[in-house]
Amino acid sequence: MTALDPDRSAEPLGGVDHDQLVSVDDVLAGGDDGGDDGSGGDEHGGHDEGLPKTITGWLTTTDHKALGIAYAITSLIFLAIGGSLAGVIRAELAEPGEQFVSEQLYNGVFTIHGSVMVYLFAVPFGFALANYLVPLQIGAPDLAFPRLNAFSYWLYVFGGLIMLLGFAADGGAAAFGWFAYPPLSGAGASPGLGADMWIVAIILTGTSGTLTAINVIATITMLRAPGMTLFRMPIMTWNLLVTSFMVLLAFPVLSGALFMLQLDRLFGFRFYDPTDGGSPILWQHLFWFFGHPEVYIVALPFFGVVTEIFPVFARRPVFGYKGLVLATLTIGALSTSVWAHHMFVTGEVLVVFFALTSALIAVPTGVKVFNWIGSMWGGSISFEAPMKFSIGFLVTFVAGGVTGVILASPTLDYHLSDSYFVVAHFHYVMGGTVIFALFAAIYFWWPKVTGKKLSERLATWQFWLLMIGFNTTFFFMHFLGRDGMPRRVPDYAPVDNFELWNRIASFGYLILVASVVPFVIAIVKSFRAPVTEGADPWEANSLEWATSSPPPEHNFDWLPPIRSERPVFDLRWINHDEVGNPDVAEAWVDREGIADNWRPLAAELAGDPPTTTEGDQP
Amino acid sequence: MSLDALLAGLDPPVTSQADETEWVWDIYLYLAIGVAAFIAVLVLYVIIRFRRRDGDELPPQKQYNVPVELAYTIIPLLIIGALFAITVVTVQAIEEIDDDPDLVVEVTAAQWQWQFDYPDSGVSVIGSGEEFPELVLPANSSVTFELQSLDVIHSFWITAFRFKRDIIPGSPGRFSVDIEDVAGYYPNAGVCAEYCGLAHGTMRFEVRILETDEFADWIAQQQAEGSQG
Repeated sequence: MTALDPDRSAEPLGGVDHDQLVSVDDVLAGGDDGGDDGSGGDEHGGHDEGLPKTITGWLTTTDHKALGIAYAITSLIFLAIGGSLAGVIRAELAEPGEQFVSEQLYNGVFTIHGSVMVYLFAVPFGFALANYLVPLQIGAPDLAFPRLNAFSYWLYVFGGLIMLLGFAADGGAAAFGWFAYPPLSGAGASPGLGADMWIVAIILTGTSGTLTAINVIATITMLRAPGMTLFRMPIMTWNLLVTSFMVLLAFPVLSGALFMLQLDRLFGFRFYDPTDGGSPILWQHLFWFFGHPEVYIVALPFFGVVTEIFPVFARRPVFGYKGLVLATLTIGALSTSVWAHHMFVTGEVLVVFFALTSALIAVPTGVKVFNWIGSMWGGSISFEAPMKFSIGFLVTFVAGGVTGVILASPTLDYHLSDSYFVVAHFHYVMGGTVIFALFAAIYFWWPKVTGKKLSERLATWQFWLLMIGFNTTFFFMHFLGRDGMPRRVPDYAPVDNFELWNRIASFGYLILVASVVPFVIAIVKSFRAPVTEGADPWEANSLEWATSSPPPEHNFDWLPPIRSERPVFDLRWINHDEVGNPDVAEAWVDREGIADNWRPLAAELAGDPPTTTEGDQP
Repeated sequence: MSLDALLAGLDPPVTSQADETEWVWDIYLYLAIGVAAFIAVLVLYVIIRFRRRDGDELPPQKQYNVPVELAYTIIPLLIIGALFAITVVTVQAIEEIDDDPDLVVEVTAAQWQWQFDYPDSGVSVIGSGEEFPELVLPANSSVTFELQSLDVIHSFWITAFRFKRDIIPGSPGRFSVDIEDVAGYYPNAGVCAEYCGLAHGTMRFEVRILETDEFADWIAQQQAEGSQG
C-alpha cells in the first residue's frame, strides 16, 4: 500500500534536527526582563500566574484571563443545568403517555432548556474564548475596557440566575418556548412572574453580550501588537471579530423586541396584540433577525477553535487563509438576510428570496469545511485530544450542514418545519459541533491556562462516548421528524417506530451523560498534578503560545517578530528561512541594540545567510 | 425505497402537491447523503493517509491552491443553484391557490382544539375532550382550506399532505390541495405543529378521505344529525 509509504523526497527539509529548532521556552528563559516590541512589556520577570488568589480577588477582577476562566466555568455550569433539563425531556419521551412531569412543568423545562443552552451556555462560552484568547492572540495586555468586561460578566451571571429562579416563581418558569411567540407569550396566555423574569434575564444577558462585542471590537482594532496586521491575525481572532459585529447587529434588536413584549405584558401596549391592531408576525421578524445571526454567533467562535487546531496537529499552515476570512465575512453578511427561513410556514414572507439566501450560506460554510480538510491534506497528523475532538466536530458539522440545505428549501420545510427533523438538525449544528469544538478548545488551551496537560487516555474515552452518545441521541430524530412527530410535545402517538426511535434517543442520552465522567476525572487529576508544560506544548502557531503557561498578569514580557499569521512557527524555524517567513530573521537582527535581552538565535544570523540547517541554542 | 422502510409511520402522500414534495425530497435526501459520504470518505482518507509516522519531516507548507479553492467554491454554488431552481418551481406549484375548488373547508384553531366547517353544506366538526376531531375529505377533488385562529399561533399540519401552514391570529390564511384517489383513514396525520401552550401535545386530529359518493353521503348524514340536534 503506497499510502503508507509517502514520498517525501520532494521536500527541502530533510534532516532537520528537531532539537535544533528555536523554542519559545528557551527564548523566555534567556532574558529576565524585556519588552522590546512595544506591547505588553512590564517589569514582570517570570512566572507570575496573574490570576486572582482570593475570593474577593475573583469577585472584583477585571483581568481578561480571570474573566475568561469565569465565563468558561459559568457557562459550563449552565451546560450542566441545560443538559439535566434535557434529561427530563428524554425521560418523559422514552415512552408514550405522560409519566414523570406535568404538561406545565414539561413546557417550562424545554423552554428553559433551550434558553439556557442558547443564551447562557453557547454564546457565553464564545465570550470565554474571546476574553481569554483575543488579547493573547494579538499581543495585547488585556481587553480595551477591562472594567466594562467585568460588568458584562456580572450582567450575564445575574441574568442567568434570574432566568433559573423563574422555576421558583408563582406559576412556574416561562413556558412559551425559547422563541417566545406572542400572543402565547403575552400577558393573557402566559400570566405569571416566570415569564417576566425570563424576559428580564434575556435583556440582561443580551446587554452583556452587546457590551462584550464592543469590547472585543475595540480591542482588535486598537490593541494589536506592532506587526499584527489584520491579515496576520489568527482565524480565531478573525471569527471573534466577525461574531462581535453580528452581536452588535443582532442583540440590540432582540433587546428592543423584548422591551416591546414587556411593555405589552405590563402596561397594556399592543405591539404584538392581534386583537387590537398589533402584529404577532412583527415579533417573529424581530426575533429571527436576531435569531439567525445568533446561530452563527454561536458557531463562529467554535469554527475558529478548530481552525486553530487542525494546522497545529497536521503541522501545516491553515489552508486558504484569505479564502477562510472571506468565507467568514460572507457568512456574517448573509446571516443578516436569512432570518425568515424560520417563518416559511407562516405564509407571510417571500419564501423564494429567503430560500436563496439560506441556500447560499451553504457555500461559504462548505468552503470552510474544505479549508479544514485542506489544512490536514499533505500534513503529518497526530491525534492528541484536541485533534480528535476537532475531527468529531468536522463530521458532526457536515451531518448537520446537509440537513440545513434540506430545510432551506421551503418545499421541504413545509413538511419538516417544527418537527423533530428540525430538532435533530439544530442539535447537530448548534449542539454537537459546539460540544465537540468546546472540548477541543478545553483540551487544547488547558496547558496554556494551567501549565498542565489533561489525560489523553481519559480524553479518548470521553471522545468515543460522546461520539456514540451524541449520534444515538440525535440521529434518529431525523426519522421521527420526517415521520411526523412535532416538537415540544410531552407525549406522542403510540406509533411503533415513534416508540422505538424515542427509546433509542433516550438511551443515547445516558451515554452522553456517561461521557462527562472521564472528563471530570481528567480535570480532577489535572488539579492534583504539578505544572509540567512550557510555553508552547503543542508546537503551535499563534501568539498566545509565545508567553509562559499560565501567562503573567500582563500577558507578555516579550513578543516575537510578527511577520505572518504564525509568529511562533516563524520563530521556531527562524534559522530556516525557506520554511518560516524570511523577514522574521531580519526583524530579529534589527532588534540588536534596541532590545536589552537580544541575542542571536543562530550563529549564521549575525553575518552569513542561513545556508546550513544547524540551529543554535541560546 | 429502502430508506422509507425506516419511516413506516409516515402515511403515503395523498395530494398532487405532496407528490411534488416527495420527488424534491428524494433529490435533496440522496444528494445530502452523497455529499456527507463524500466528505466522510475524504476525512477518513486524510486521517489515514497523512497520519504522523516515525521519521516524518515537516510537511510542505503550501498555503494556497487557487484553482482548488475556486473549484470547491464554484461546484457547491452550482449544486445550490440547481437545488434552488427545483425549489422555486415546486414551491410555486404548491402555493398556488385554487379559487374555485370542489370543496372549501374552514379550519378554526383554538387552544387546544380544532373545528372544521364546511360552509357549502353547513356541516361543522368539533373535537371533544376525549376524542380527536376527524377531518373528512373527498378523494379526487380540489380543496381549499381557510385558516383562522381564535387565540394564539397554531399550525395546521397534515403529514400526508407533506404540508403545514401556521395559523396566525388576526391574519387568516389559506392554501389549496388536489387530493388524489387515495380514500383511506389516516389517524396520525393531523397535528398542531406550532407550540401553542399547555396542551399543545394533544391538539391533534384524524384525517379520513372518502370516495366522492361516500363523502356526499357523509355530508348528508351530518346535515341530518345537525338538524336533529
